[in-house]
Amino acid sequence: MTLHDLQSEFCSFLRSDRATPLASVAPAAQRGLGVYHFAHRATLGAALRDVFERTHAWLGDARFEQAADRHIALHPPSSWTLADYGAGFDETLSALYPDHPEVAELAWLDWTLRAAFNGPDSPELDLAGLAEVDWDRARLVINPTLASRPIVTNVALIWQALDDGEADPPPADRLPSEAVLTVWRQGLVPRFQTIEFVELDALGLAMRGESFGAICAMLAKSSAGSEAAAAQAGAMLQRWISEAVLVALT
Amino acid sequence: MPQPSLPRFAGFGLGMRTEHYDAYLSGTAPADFVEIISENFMGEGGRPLHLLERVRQNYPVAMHGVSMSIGSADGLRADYLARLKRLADRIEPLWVSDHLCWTGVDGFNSHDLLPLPYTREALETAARNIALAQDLLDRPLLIENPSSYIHFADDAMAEWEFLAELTRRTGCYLLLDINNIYVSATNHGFDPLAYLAGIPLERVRQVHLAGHSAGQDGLLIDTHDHPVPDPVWALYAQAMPMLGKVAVMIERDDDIPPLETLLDELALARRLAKPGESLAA
Repeated sequence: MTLHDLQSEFCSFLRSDRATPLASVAPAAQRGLGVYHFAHRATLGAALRDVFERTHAWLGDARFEQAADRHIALHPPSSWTLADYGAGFDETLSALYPDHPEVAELAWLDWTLRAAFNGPDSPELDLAGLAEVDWDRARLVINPTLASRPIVTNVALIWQALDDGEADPPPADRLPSEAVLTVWRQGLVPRFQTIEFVELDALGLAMRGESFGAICAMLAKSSAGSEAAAAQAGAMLQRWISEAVLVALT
Repeated sequence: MPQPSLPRFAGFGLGMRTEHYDAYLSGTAPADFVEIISENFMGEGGRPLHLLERVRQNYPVAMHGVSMSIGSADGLRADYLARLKRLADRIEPLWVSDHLCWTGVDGFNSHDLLPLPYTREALETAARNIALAQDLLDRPLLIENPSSYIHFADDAMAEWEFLAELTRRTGCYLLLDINNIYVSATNHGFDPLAYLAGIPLERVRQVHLAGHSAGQDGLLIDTHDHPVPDPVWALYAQAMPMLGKVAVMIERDDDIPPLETLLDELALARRLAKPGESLAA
């Protein structure tokens, strides 16, 4: 048996439902196979519990373990780092709980906050130089850790209550209209915020390299008037600067 | 490519675990070095790297990895090595270590330290992978002896013979885990002193000390969640006079106790490293 064949067979063994004997293992050592079989699942389960702490708190032990088992069965790990293993867990939960969208939204928030925690660093915006900026032509460099997704529930309130350790987090509730949840890291601290779709459109333009003038023009089309659009753009820009969503200008 | 010789570092260190970050950040923990799990600091940025760079100002750092998979028949992952090199270049560690093991093939990664068959083919594979990693990292590696719960029907040599040959072929050094010797010796029924006698001790640059648990079927499991037990201390006391100047570290990864408890263990490690000392003293 080649080394590759032996290792391939061992990987199949780890992924199988039960620890069964392997001919490549010495007869006297077969009892040790169970240690590896158990450890593989335990490691992946622990990785999910570590990242999805608030999702776990929301679902409770039994439902979380059931979801973890399903994810492990469907998604064999492939990355060099265990830190990547939670990718797609929100989709596993969405399939398991189609009538409870807050579950997948919570998982997405847990996962994306962790990704922002370890994500790329950003330069500090040169505040002193802002007065000299030609805003109409300026291009905005958005924080590289910024991620977003549409939400339909009060997931932000639930996550915060769970993070605060509240015994009675608010019940899941539908938002009056679909919104957007954004996650990014300000300095060393991951943050999240609920925004409207028009702000997501503005961020999208900035990330595609459009000028601030182009962002203002887009806002003018979707606002009640040019004064309202200018006020909206100004408020947005001020918040992006103060919260490190905007990290540089070119 | 021949690697430069790796200077010895004599000292007693601890693993950098989040529970004790404050002591390492302030430099008040009386340790000669700290060891990190490399993968915990191989993200793109953020707090982990920020804190590590501050700790590095206070202590020499040893990088200890769990994901190189030097025994994989599929070879090494370029993305992993590139990130490891970036961290090593940034931190300037005492050394970079990983385990005599493999973690997966065919795109699957078990995230466990899986045992190798001790065959000629596995030896050639591990030697090829170590040589490649050393070239890419531009530094020699320390390879740690694993704990194991199985052995293979086709094994053609003992683990210590396998490690000795790896050091000869690649110029790598060794991280000798005393607990792993004890655990594997108990599980497989070999004499731990025969293991020490078969290892090229002059290649050892670091020693790990850890605890273990009793599993099912009489196997010992390398859990790193208990204090170092007496039989491991006794084996350590026998090994140290043979090793010369090495770095010694208490490896605790779970059920992390207060720092003072680990420092008490480290004090015992210092005492037992001196010739003629024993647990009973």
